[in-house]
Amino acid sequence: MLFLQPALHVAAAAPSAGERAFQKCYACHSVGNEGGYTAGPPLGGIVGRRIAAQPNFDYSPAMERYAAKRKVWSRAALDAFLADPLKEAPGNEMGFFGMRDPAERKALIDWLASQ
Amino acid sequence: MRRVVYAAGLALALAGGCASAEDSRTSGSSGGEASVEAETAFTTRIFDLPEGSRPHDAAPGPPGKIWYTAQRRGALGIIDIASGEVREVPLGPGSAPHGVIQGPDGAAYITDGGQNAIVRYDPATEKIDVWKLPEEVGYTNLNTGAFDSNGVHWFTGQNGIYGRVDPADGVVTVYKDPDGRGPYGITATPDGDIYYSSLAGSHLGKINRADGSVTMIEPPDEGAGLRRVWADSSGNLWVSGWNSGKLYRYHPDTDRWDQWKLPLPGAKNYAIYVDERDWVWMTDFNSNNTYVFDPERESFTPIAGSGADAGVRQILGRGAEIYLPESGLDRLMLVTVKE
Repeated sequence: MLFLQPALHVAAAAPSAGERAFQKCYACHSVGNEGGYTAGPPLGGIVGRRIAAQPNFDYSPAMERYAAKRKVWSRAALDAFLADPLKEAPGNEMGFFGMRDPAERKALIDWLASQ
Repeated sequence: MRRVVYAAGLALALAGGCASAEDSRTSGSSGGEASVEAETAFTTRIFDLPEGSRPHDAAPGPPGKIWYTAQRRGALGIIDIASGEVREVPLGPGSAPHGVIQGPDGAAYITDGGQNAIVRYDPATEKIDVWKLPEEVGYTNLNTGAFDSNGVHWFTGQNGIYGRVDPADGVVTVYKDPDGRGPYGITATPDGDIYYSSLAGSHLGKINRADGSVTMIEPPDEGAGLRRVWADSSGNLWVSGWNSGKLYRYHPDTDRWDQWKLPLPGAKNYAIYVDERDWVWMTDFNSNNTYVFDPERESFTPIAGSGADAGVRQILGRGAEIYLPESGLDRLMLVTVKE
């Protein structure tokens, strides 16, 4: 089936530091369940939640192993994971290899905690 | 298509058990019965890369060299195949490169998510050009690039865009994917047309290069998760189904799809590349295997990662060389096809 769609230019926005940081996650994660399919689970309410425990999401074996080790998305766990996801959870499927700036990670975690 | 003689060579075992022809039989419109080969004629060589490189994509560089994106170190990696020497060229503040291809001018064109820019590296002068996306576009999560027949570089951004930059003037234009987030792989056909695939949107897009509009093409499986796409010598598009665990072939001239299930249960098809023999290379992220698919024999030949969780996310090659960047191991596997 073919659809022809005109191209559109992207509108600007002025997000906070945390929301700006979330743009690096946006391709694969929603905050809630808005926006249809995403490759990763929704991240709203992630701070303090059990790891790899979102219902109806098919976690990779790597994230299941990580959940057995770390248990809960504490701020410290999120910070370590965001800094180097493949080091923290070897074999995980995320195509994002880390947020190097500690201030950016903190802003993202603060913003996620508010969602 | 050139025929390649299968000779007794490196014997390989399937990780997790051997799939049968029944397991990999096509379930779609056409495509026939597939089988799994246990032996083929190729050799492998491993290059250790700097720790923390996290090589995402790789591409042919100048003769005898392989380029890779060292995403976590914000650099372009350069491997000298003969000596094994590896060095990395920093690409700029905040760089986090995802894709790399060689342009018609011999330069490396890098889709740099960290800088939200297309970066060009000239191997002769080592000059680096950074073409930032327009400020008002915002962060786009740049993914992959391809050149059309006019020498224009087209690219995808996973946050929901595709775009173009003409190296002649450096002007960057960005277009919004009608389905929003998801644009991932991109390829040029032998005629120079540009198609991209959307992972979240699960569609192909054929870009109208005159006005930048897109014709959307839906796969046979809803939610297939079309991750990467590559054209063969006939202009057919081979597509990896991340969610469906399938290999797809789309025929633009007839609007027909073929499909094959990857050999092992729970497959997640990530990378896709069609080599000069029209063999199709792909990776199953779950089984840690790269597969070579011969469309004439409809056979899958597995190549195991060099270690657990190799994480091969993209494949490219030149001639008999096939490059498998192992993001999870900071290695690159060079596969050489013996002919």
